[in-house]
Amino acid sequence: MSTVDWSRALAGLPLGLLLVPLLLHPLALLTVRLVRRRPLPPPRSRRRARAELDALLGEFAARGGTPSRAQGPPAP
Amino acid sequence: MDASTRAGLILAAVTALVTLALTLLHRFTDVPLRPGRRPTGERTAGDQPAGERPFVDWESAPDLPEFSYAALYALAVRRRDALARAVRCAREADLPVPEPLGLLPETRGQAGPQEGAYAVLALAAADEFIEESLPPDSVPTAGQLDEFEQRTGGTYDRRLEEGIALTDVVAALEVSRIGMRALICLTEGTALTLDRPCYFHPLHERGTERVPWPQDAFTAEDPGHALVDEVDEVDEVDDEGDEGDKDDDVVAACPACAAGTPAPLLVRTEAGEVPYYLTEFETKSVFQTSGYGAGALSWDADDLLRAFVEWHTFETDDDRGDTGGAGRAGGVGRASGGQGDTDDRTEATA
Repeated sequence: MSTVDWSRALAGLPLGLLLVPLLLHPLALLTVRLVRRRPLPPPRSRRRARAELDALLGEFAARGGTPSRAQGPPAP
Repeated sequence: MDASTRAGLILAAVTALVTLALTLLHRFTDVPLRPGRRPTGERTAGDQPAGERPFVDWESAPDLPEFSYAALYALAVRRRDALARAVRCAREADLPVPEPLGLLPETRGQAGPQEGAYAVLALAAADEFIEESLPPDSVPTAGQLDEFEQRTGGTYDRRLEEGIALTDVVAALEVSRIGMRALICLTEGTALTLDRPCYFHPLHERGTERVPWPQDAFTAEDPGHALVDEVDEVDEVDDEGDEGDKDDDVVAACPACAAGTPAPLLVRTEAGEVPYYLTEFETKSVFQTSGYGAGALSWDADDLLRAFVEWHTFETDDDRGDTGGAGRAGGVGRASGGQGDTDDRTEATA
């Protein structure tokens, strides 16, 4: 009759809890993209640059960069 | 299989799994994997946190604690820096933003949208204007003092120098806005249309109204004049451009200036404070003749940005002995001369 080392078995629980979301979440994202035949997302550096650009342009728009009202027709 | 081998296999498997997981997370998600780094979606512009970055006021009429040259210069630098960051980000995001590589991007006749090139042109212009203006905390060198004395015959007056530089600072403020709007159009896939400033004071509200040209001001020239070396071609273009261009008769103005007496942007000269569109000395002729775009309604973004970058100053033109192009009049502003406005205008815009 074999004995179970319960300390080791219990240590596997947090390890499993850690690995499952770490591994399954990105794998699920990849699988969904492959199944739907959607293009892969851009690399992280590009996404970061795009987010930074969007933040800058958002600040520009929020701080008065875009016209407050559309240009009306020229006055006669 | 002994215990050591089993442990080694387990370690290898766990390492491989963790590496695979981290790689997939890095490639497909924005989860922060390095300590101290925020997720991509929460990142703010620039390398500095949002609270530490300088506030950039993009209003056409900036809300400044003090409407002074120093305050405008500081704002122009902040806007230029923000535009430079945005252009860098657009490049890194793989948007079609050309690299200058020492030469300005060619936009005429190029296929596809040119908003990325417009942003680069705007940044180049803003850089140049900032470089040519006078830093508020700078100390004049001995050479500059001598040059000022020779030119004016008087002792160094910093306010006069700042008066000249003010036109460049205002241009940097305006062209930075154009560059940011070009990037917005680039990301949205739309075409850039100019949002004209007020002709009388580019730091007023935007020029949503149309009023007749001021009688004493320069008139906008055909953008072909930007090419100083192509005088013959310019003359041909000018002849064609003068026919039936109804936009030549009006300028864009803010509602306040259009409704009442215009309050122009005043520039300090030896003759006192005069509207910027009457000054000539050492200022880019495109500022006066186009009113920073408000007086050249037939120009598109390409025309205006190229003129900002390529048009020469009044003084430079005289030094070259050039006989074509815009802004040939030299010396102190025409307003200081009093009479002879019509003749001077003809000379300056021939």
